[in-house]
Amino acid sequence: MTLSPGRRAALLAALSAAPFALALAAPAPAAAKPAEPLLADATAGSGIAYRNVSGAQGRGKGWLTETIGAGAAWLDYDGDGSLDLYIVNGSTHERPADTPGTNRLYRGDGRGRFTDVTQKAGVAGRGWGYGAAAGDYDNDGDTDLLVTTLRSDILYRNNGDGTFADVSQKAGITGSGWGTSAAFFDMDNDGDLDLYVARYVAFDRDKVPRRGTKEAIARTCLYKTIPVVCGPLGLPPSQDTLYRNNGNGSFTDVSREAGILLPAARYGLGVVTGDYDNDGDQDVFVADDSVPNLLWRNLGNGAFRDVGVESLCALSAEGDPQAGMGTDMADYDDDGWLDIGVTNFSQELNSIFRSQSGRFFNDVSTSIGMQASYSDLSWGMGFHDFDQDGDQDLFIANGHVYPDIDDYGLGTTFNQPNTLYVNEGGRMRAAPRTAGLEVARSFRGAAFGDYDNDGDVDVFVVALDGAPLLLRNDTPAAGSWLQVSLRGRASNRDGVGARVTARAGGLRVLRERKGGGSYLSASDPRLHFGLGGATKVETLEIRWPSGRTQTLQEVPAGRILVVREPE
Amino acid sequence: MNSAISVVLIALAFGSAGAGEQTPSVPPEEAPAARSTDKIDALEAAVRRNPNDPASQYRLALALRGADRRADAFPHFVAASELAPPSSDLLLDLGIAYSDVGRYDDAEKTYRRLITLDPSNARALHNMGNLALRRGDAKEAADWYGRAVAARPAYLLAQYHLAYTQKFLGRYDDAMATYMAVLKSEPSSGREQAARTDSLYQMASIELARGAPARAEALLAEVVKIAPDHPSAHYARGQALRQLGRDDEARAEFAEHMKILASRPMGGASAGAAQ
Repeated sequence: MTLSPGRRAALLAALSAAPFALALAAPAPAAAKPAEPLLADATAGSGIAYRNVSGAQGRGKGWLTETIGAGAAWLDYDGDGSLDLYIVNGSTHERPADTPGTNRLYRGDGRGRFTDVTQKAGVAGRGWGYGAAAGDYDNDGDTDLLVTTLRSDILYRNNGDGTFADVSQKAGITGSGWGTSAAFFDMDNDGDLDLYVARYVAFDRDKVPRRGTKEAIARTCLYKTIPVVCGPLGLPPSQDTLYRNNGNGSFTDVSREAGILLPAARYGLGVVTGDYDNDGDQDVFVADDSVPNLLWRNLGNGAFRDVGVESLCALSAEGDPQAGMGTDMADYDDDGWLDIGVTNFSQELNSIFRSQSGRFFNDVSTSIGMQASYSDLSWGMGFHDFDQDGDQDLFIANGHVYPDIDDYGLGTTFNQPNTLYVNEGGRMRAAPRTAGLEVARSFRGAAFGDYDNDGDVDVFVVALDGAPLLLRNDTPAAGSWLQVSLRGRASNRDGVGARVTARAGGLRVLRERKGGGSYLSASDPRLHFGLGGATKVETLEIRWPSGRTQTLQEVPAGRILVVREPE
Repeated sequence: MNSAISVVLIALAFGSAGAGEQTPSVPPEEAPAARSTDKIDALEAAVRRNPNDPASQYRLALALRGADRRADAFPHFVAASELAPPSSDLLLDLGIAYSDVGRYDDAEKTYRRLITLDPSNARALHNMGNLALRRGDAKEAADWYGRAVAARPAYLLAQYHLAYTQKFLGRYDDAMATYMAVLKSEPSSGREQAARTDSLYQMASIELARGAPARAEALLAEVVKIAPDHPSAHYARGQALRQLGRDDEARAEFAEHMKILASRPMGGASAGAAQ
């Protein structure tokens, strides 16, 4: 590993003589900037009484199962036009695995008040819950629910009368193992929703030593010098599951035929679907913990191929696997191609992989300002236009996994405030930590949606071992907006996979109806467009998953628009 | 939940691992003893005979650390510092010992005490930079490293770490200039040699971030010749080649990188615990 004198001299000369290259071309600037985004803590008085249970409290935690938390889903289960909220809950190792769960369904009134309807709806779950996905898998016009748990997946079919039925077995949702995030999406564009479930560890508590025991320490279950829960490295990973919708209310596990079973499974935590290569079908990105992420390119014939490494979004810029938790896809730089975000561990940056015209990605985390995330341990994430200036900002939920991390002077803490990054021409600036952004807990899943129907994007965040946080978007002087609610006909009824482009006042805003996203959570199915100072959308183009295209003209801003796919 | 990027990364990306803080040279007469169990036994016997002798405690501590028994060395560094009047070497060693056992706040207090006594102690300034980076404060780290370089301009590791923090902070022009200074410096140890080679890789990764893949590729071609087992160079070269449209060559570099990754121990947070 030495430089010969001649080679060294030549290198130095070359480096000195050549001019440095130009900086990355910055995306076009957005419309006039509004005031700083303001997310107010609206939990008190909302009627949400949920408290998270994740095994033993705080420093009593002994296993990995107790640390990764839970998620939530915004959905309109009763079709009244107002978002309802489903919150998944964990359990303890002392409770039998098939014990009825304590998940909660809250009916929203569209004005910020929620009523617990769990018992009537019959969606309390069972066992130790982690994640949720929402989608109309049977195309009957109401939203169904998928819940992941430590042992099995639960599919709740919406009966259309305010109640749900557990149809898991009947519908062929028979995958077992520790499910985490899940995504409804139409893998084959055949008009119904298929389902991807990410899985984490094949966990058997009897074979994993408890944190801090001699056996655990002997197996190097340490973070720096701190005894911590064992895993995921060293524990057997679990294969993800891909269910194809049979079109008759049931699913078939096609993981093997589709090519997603790996010789060495990964530790899957986050999943999002989107058309990263603009070829008209939905691809799948999986954020994996401590091992390379997966980018499943949809080959269009029912099969997928992992192109994560060659597409440069599986590893950090240095080529290291990171502790991927949550993920999202969005065109944050407004170039017409979906980029990818991944949340990671503390002392890793959260990753932003910027698409290079769908051919591959560049890790631009450092050059766009994600250094502010260096001490954060991050989970839920979402690209949304919180200030409605036409570009997508980025919300990230934070919180450490090790309750005693505070004792070690490592520059990080167990409870952490969330971060809102404001998109400033493609650079991400952390907004001041005011109002609801001051609240520090050990946050996990984050779900995004306009629960009060005032046009802007609000956030619900689950916190480990405690009360959640409802953040109401009260940004002053925000721009105008449009929301689009899709109704597929030949396409799946939810329009998952549809791509919508709005042109308004010089802005060109692209949104895709994605599957999954964030961490263990599901967000508002309506697409939200910030429009800056525009009062109308000049053209609204929709590319449906069926291949049909539709263009609407002169759409006034400030409304929730229902768009039905043409016959 | 592995923390892959940490202060370890900036210690040295490859070659000598270490805890990221520079250990002062063991006095020449002690160096062979550090690797000798017999010598350690003799030093332990001397400490048992006279536990209040600071020189015996210090010699044993150095010998144990030389044998990479850092936790065992710690109490003897503490004892020596309590028995002897403060000196620059002892305070520096004590600071490192605190870091070795994860007592970073105490390490910082010790280095600050040393810097009060000896404001131009480049090693203490450098190690303060490492502690700041461990806390995630890259700006403060860059300041400490800068002070270390100002105190001793030829201090190659301080230059190297200063450049790394400048790069981390997105100060690419500053980082390139500092890496150039590293390349112009003469290494005096394996770690410094590795740092210099890694500087070439770091410069290439800046060129990649700036959108100059051809310049990056040229640098990386050198790095992989000099250090074929560099943990990041093949991946970075693959990125450059991908950007240049040389996809087949890029795939070969990615394959090489994945081979290197697979051969690396899966250490770090939460490792172990095989079922």
